[in-house]
This record gives sequence, structure tokens and C-alpha cells, in this order.
Amino acid sequence: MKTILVVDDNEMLCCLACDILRTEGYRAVPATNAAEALRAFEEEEFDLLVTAFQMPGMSGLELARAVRNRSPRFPVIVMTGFEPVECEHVTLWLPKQYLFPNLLEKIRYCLAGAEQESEKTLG
Amino acid sequence: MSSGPSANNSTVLEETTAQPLDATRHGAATREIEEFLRSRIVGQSAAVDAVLEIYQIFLVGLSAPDRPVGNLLFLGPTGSGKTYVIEVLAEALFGNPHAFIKVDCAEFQEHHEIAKLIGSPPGYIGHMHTQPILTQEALTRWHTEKLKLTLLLFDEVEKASESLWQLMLGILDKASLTLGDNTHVDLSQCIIFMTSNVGAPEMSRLAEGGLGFALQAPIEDANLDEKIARTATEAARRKFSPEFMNRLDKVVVFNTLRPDQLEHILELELEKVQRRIAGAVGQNHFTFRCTPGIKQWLLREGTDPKYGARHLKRVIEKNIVYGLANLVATGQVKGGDCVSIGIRADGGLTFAKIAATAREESAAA
Repeated sequence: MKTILVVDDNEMLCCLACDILRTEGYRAVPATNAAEALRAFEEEEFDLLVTAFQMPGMSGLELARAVRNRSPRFPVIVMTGFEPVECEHVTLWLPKQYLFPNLLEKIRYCLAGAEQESEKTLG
Repeated sequence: MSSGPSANNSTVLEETTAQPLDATRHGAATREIEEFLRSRIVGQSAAVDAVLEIYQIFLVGLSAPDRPVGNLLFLGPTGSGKTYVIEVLAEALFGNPHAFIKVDCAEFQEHHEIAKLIGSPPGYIGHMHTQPILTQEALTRWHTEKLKLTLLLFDEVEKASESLWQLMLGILDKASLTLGDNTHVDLSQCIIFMTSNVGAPEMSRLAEGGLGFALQAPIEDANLDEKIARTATEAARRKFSPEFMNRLDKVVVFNTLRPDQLEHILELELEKVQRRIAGAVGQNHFTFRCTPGIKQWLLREGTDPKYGARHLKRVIEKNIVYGLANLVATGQVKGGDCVSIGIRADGGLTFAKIAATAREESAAA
């Protein structure tokens, strides 16, 4: 079972998104800020990060950068209500107004890409 | 020696002092489970009765030794709720609808695939690497201090390979299984469920409402359910061997669901979504209401002559849950809000926030 860390300061959205992901068969862990997310990364292994762009304190992009510093190819999806910006640490951007079902499709895409990547590395 | 008069006297004495008993009554623990099952399972009371009977016997410790607690065969069309009954039972007993082991018999059609269930014997490729599904640890995974019971489901049993049949016959008869590494597994604390849709086309023809669901007006026949049950059981007897049928404690035939029952199922599913939102989001959650129009639309989209109510959950998830999540994502809905969901003439869904006063009026109505 793939484990996804979902980070959003909108607690309701964070919990609801995790609930939907669990229904889809993923293990979803919620975090309501970047510091909490980084602590979660210390404690367990994740297959994917889904984070909000704007959050109080550390932003989603800063979180993506911190995660990629540890694991350069780690898949990161950033959800935003604004225009996406150029950032090498983001695998995919997702507009919040069309979150579902698009998020599920993007997750499948990212996880499949990560699997291919790991097969190449092993091969 | 004449024993007549004294025997008669003793009978009279017994009859005058005997207190009538009711062998059909359930104990308190079973009644609690019964209430839960009946509140969530619609139109399948025979299945609920069969499950409760076995559970009651298990609770009082009268299950036959060296046999599973019960062997039940569920017959009925796709989407009539066979697996759902087991999910609800798992939720009632362990608080988790997934607290059971499911063996999808269609995945074991080749002889060698049995290794996935019991592991490869030493010396074979995969030994030590193939983690068997049916280990003692797996069977006891959901056991609690109070309840040492396992629910084991063999789904679509008619698709089982010959090797799986042999394995199942052993389990149903002796409640035992030997794994590839020669370890013994005891299944005497298991209720074994088997599901099958053999006889579904014949049942459908009888109901004349399509497979599993009477979408048209149901036939006015008081004995219809009885006829359908007989047809399904006969089909099972033709398909399955006598050795298998003789090992079953009960064969339950799932009824064709009527339109009013489908509506009831929809209401239960919508309540479940509301509970999910409350559970996920916590105290400060929002609520939603569906108009009669959207309910009819969900029923049309979610019930299908071929797959029954199987798609209903999916349709609710894709249209109601995703829609609500998008409203939360864009800040249109917050904790404490109430959302009314309806449908436009062109088929598009509408979401509207109900003001507090309108909400009170609507609740009072």
C-alpha cells in the first residue's frame, strides 16, 4: 500500500482529502503545516508528498525543496489556488478549484513514474 | 413388568412443572449485533438470520469441535450485497468493515497459484519469499481479548481451481490446513463464507427485472422469493459437488432488491458519507442534504441491471464527495455550513449553501 503525506493548513480539506485517498486504497497521513510534515518524514517513509502551495510559515515550495534535498527524485504534487510558478522541486501542479478527481489521476501518474524510476535504478 | 402407570404419572408431573422456553431468542450480545446488521442491511433478512444463528452458537460455545464455526454459501446476482453482509458483520464485531480475509477464487485458477494461499513447499522457487495468505497469524489478526473469531471469505467460489476445491473441502470439513512449509493452521475459530452467482440468469428471468434488480415493476407473486431461492439452490447443486454441498451449514439466497429497498440503500450510503465527513473533519464539520431529484439521479446512475447496486458508492463518491471536497478546497464551504445538493434540468449537479434560518425551517418541515 502506497503512503501519501497530505499537507494543507486548511484542516478540513486536509482530512477530507486523506479520507478520499484512503477510500481509494492509499495510506494517507495528514499534516497541517510544513514543520509537522518534516517531522512525519523523520518518523516514517512516504511514497508521495501532496502539499498546499501557500501555508503560514514554511510554504509548500520550501517544503518541496527540503524534501528534495533529502531525496532528489521524490514525487511532489503542489495544490494551488494561484498560478503555478517555475520550480524544479515540484513534479506536478494542481489547481485547487479542480482538485477532485484530478488529484487521484495525478497521484497515479506520479507513483507510476516513481516506480519506473526505481526499476531503472535497480536495472 | 408394567411401566405404564408410573411413566404416565411422571409425564404429567413434568408437564405441570415445565416452564416453556423460546429457543429462537438471542442473547444480549447477539441482539446488539443483530440491531447493527438490520440497520445496515436492506432486503436480505435471510442472510442476517443465518449469520446471527451461527454467531449465537459460537458465543455460547456450542460450535462443533474440529470444524469451522460455520460454513455459509451466499448465492445471488452481482451487486445484491453478498460481500457487503460480511463487511457489515466485520464492522459490527471488530469496528472495521475490512476486518476479514478475502480469497478471490478467480485469482487461483491455475494449479501453481495455490502457493499464494499456502506458500511454496521447501525446495520450490519462491519458498521463503511467498508470504502465504492463510497463516495462523493472518487468521488471528483481528482477534480481540473478548472475541476470538475470524471471518474468512472465498469470493466467487465457482471459479476455484481443482486444487483450491481440494483445499477448501479440507477446511470446511476439518477446519485444518497444512501450509507449504508443513505448518498446521487451525481454522476452527473461523466463519467461512463463500459467495457465488451461479443461477443468477435463471433468477433474473424469474424476477423479470434484470440481473439482481427489479428495475421494472416487480411481479405480483407472493412466492417469488421462494421460487428464486429454489432455482438458485438447484443451480448450486448442479454446479457444486455433493461433498461440497454436504459440508455447508446453510445456503442463503439473496433476494432481488425492490426499488423501495434501493432507495433505502441510497439513504444509508448518504448517511455513511455524512458520518465519514464528521469522522474525518471532526466537531466543526459541515452537513449536506440531497434533493429528491438528485437522489433519483444517483439511483439511476448507481444501479445497473447487470451490476446491481455495486456502482452506487462509486457514483456517490465521484459526484457528491468529490464535489464537496472541491467546495472545501476553494473555501466555499466551511465548518458549520449546510450544503444542499440538487440537479438541473440539463443533468448538471448544483451545490448551494443553506442559510441558517432556511436550514431550521427545512429541518422543522
